Amino acid sequence: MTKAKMPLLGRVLVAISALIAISAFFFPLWHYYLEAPQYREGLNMWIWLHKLTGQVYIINDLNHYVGFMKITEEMYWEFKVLPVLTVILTLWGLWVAFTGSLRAFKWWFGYYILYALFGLVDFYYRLWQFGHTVDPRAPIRIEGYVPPMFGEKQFMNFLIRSEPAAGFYVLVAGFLVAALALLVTWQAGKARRGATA
Amino acid sequence: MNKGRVRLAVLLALVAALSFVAIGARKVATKLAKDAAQKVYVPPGEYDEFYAFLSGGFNGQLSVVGLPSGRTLKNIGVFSVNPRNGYGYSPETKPLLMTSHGFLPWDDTHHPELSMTNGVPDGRWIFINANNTPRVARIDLKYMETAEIIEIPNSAGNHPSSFVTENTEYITAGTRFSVPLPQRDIPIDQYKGNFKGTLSFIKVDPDTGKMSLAFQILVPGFDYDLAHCGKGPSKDWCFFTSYNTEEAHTLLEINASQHDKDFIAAVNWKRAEECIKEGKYETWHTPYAHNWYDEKKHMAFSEIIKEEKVIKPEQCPGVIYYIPTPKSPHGVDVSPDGRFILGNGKLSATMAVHSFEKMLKAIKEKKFAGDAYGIPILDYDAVVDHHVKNVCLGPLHTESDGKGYAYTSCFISSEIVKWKWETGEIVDRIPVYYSVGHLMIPGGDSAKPWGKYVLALNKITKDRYLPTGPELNQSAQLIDITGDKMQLLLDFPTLGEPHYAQALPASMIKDKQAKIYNLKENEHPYATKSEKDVKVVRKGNEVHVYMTAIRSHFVPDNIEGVKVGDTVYFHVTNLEQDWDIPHGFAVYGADVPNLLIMPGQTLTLVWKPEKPGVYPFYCTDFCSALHQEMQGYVRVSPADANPPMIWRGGGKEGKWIVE
Repeated sequence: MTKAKMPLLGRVLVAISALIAISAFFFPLWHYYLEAPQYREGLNMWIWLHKLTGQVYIINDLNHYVGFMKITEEMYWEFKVLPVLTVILTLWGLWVAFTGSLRAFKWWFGYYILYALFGLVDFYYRLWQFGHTVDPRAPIRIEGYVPPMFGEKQFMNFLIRSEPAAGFYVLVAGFLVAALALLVTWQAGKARRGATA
Repeated sequence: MNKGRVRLAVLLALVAALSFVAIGARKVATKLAKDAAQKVYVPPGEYDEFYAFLSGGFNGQLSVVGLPSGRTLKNIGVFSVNPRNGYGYSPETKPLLMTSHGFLPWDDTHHPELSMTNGVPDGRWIFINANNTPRVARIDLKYMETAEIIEIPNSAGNHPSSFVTENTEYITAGTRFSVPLPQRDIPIDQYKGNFKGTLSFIKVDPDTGKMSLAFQILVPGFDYDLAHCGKGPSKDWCFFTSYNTEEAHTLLEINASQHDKDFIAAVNWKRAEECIKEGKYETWHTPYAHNWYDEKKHMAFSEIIKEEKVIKPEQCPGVIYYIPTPKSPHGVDVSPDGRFILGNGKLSATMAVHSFEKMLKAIKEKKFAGDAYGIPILDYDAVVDHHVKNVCLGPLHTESDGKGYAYTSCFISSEIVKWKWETGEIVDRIPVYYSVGHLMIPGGDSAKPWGKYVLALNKITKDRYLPTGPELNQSAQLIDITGDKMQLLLDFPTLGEPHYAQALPASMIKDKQAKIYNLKENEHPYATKSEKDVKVVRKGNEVHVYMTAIRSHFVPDNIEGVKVGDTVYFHVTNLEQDWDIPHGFAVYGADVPNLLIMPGQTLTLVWKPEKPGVYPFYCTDFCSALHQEMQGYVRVSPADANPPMIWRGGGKEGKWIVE
C-alpha cells in the first residue's frame, strides 16, 4: 500500500475548517463588559486576533487609580503572532486538503489543538500577569486581583463580565469541523481496514 | 374531559396568575413613585419646608433652594460678579470684591455654614469660603445678600473653611495649597520644609456679625482639606484633615498618596486665645482686604489691614496635635454629641472613628508616636475608638440624623451608606447618580439635626436629565431618611457645583425676610428720595444724575449736556415701597450690566460715552403695565461742543447744577 490518503469528505471538511479559521479575523474573540454605578450604560472592550477595540482609553483612565498596566496593542506580542499562527493554520489546512495526506492531516490536527491550548493558556497567563503587575505607588492599593476569564467578578465599584465572542465561536466551529474530518477519516480508515481483513 | 382540554385550562390559569402578579408588581412600583411624588409635592402657592443653601462652586455664588421641592429660589452673588443685578459692577457693591490683589470678579465657593448658637443653626447669617483667593463671606439671611467679605492672608487654597464653632465664636480658614510663608520667590522643588500653611480663626462679633482675623497658626506644608469644629464636650476644638503629608510638589495624585495615614489636626482654640493673651505670637504684616456693606448707606466699603497675629506651635504648646488617620482623609465630621471625630479616608475602605475623650487622655498621658515639625503626633491606637469597616469605596463626607445614625457619601461607589455612630455597624445603602461629593441633612453637622432628608450633591450628571451639549449642570438627589430604608424621592439639577450645602426649617427665617429697603432710612450719599429732589450735577468731567424710578417713569428721562470725555454716574433710587417692585436700569453701549434696584434702594451705573449721539436707557425689569414706556434718552455732544445743560422728566424741566 502506498501512503495513506484521506477520504474525499475528510479533505473537503479540512478545507472548510481551514477557511472557517481564517474568518476569525473578522470577529472579536473575546468581550469584556464593565458596569459601575456611574457607568450604567457599561464599558466594552473587544479582543481580536490582531487588535483591541472598544472604550479601552476610558478603561485605562480608570485603571490608573489602582495602578493597573495601561492596556495597549503594543504591549502584547500575541497580536502579531496570533494572526501568523492563524494564517499558518489555514494555509496548512488547505495544503492538507489539497494533498489528502493522512500523516499531514494528523500533524495539522495536532497543530490546531496546540493553537487552541496556546491561545487559552496564554490568555489566562496574561490576565494573571495583569492582576499581579500593579504600580506599587498607585493611590489605591489592591491585592492580587485577576480579572475573570469566563463569567462575572466584582472589582471595586465595577462588575466585570468576560465572555467569548463571535471570533472564538468561529474558531470552535472550525475545530469541530476539523474534528468531524478526523472522525470521517478514522471511520473511512476503519472501513478500509475491515475490507482488507 | 380529554387531556388537551386539561392542558389548555392549566395554561390559561397560569397566564391569568402571571398577569395578576405582573399587575400587582406594577401597582407596587406605581405606588412607590406616587408615594415619592407626594412627599416632594408642594402645591402651587404653598411653601417648602426647608431653605437649603447650596454653594455654587465655580460660579462663585450661593443658591437658595426650597426643599423638598428642589425649586431654586435665588442665586446670591458672593465672590463673583452677578450681571443679573449688577452685583460687583456698581460702585456700591464693587468694594466687596476688593482684595490685596485688587478687584477680583470671581472665586470658587465651597462650604456654606450657618451661624450657630449652642451648636444649632440660628438663622442669622451664612458664611461661605472662597477657595482660590482665600476669603470668607458673610451673607445676611434677612436680605439674602452678601454683607461682608474678609480676605485670609498668609494662605492659599482656602478649602477647610468656613466652619463655625458652637456659638459662632470663630469661623475656620486654612491652607490647602501650602506656599512659602511669608510669600517669597523660591524654587518649587524646595517645597519640603519651606512651604507652609496656616489654620486661621476669624472672630465673629456676636451682635453685628462683623468678622475680624483673630489669629493664624503656622503649620507644616501639608494640604489642609476640610474642617469641622467640636460641639458639647469638644466645643473648644476644631479639627482639620490633611493630605499630602508626603509634602509632594508635583504629580500629587501619585506622590501625595503614598502614606497609609495622614493627619487630622486637632486645634484647641481656647489654648490659642490664652497664647494670644500671653503675647505668645508673632505679628506679621501681609496686607489683606476687609470689605463690608453698610445697609443704611447702601454701599460697601473696603479697607486694607496689614497686621495679623501668627502663632507658631512651638511657642504655644498644647494648641495643636496631629491624629493619624487613614488614608488622605477628605471630610472630618463630628457626631452631634461631640464625642466622636470621624476621618473619611477617601483612599481607604475603612473609616476611623476617633474618640474625643481618648484624644484628651492620650494628650494627658503623652501617648505620642513622634512629631511632625515639632507638632506632637498622637498614637493612633490610643485615640481611635472603632472603625467602620468596608463602608464603601471613596468615603468623603458624613452627616448625622440626630437619631444615632451617620450617613456617609461614597464618591467611587456612588452611594450613601447609613451606619451607627456608636458601633460602626452598617445598616443601609442607597445608590446615587453619580459620584456623590458632599451630602447634606438639614442641620446635619450640628448638635440637633432635622433628620428628615439627606441631599446627595453629585459631581457627575451624565444621563440624568435631557442632555444640553457637553456642559451639564450638576445633579442632586433628595432622599427620605425617616424610615429604616432610605428612599429616593427627587432628582434635580443644581447651578454650578454645589460642594457643600446647609439647610434649616423655613419657619426660622421666612417671616424675617426683608421685603423692601425703607426709603426713609436710605442714607446713600446720592439718594434721591422724591422726584422734587431730582438734579443733575456737573463736577468737571463728572456728571452725577440724581435719578428716581417709580412705576412707570424715570426722572429725569431726558438729559442733555453730556459730552464725550465725561463720566456719567446714574444714581438711581427706586421710590417704590411695595414688595417685589424692583426697577432695572440699562444704558445703550454701557460696558457694565444692568442694575436691578430693589424698592427703597439706591444703586449707581457708571457710563463713559465715547461717541456723540442720542442714547436710550430703559427699565429692564418688567415692572408694570406701562413698563415698555419706562424709557429715556441721554444726548451726548462732541467734547468741544457747548450743548445746553438741561433735563426733563416728571412733567418738569430743570437746569444742571455746575460745581
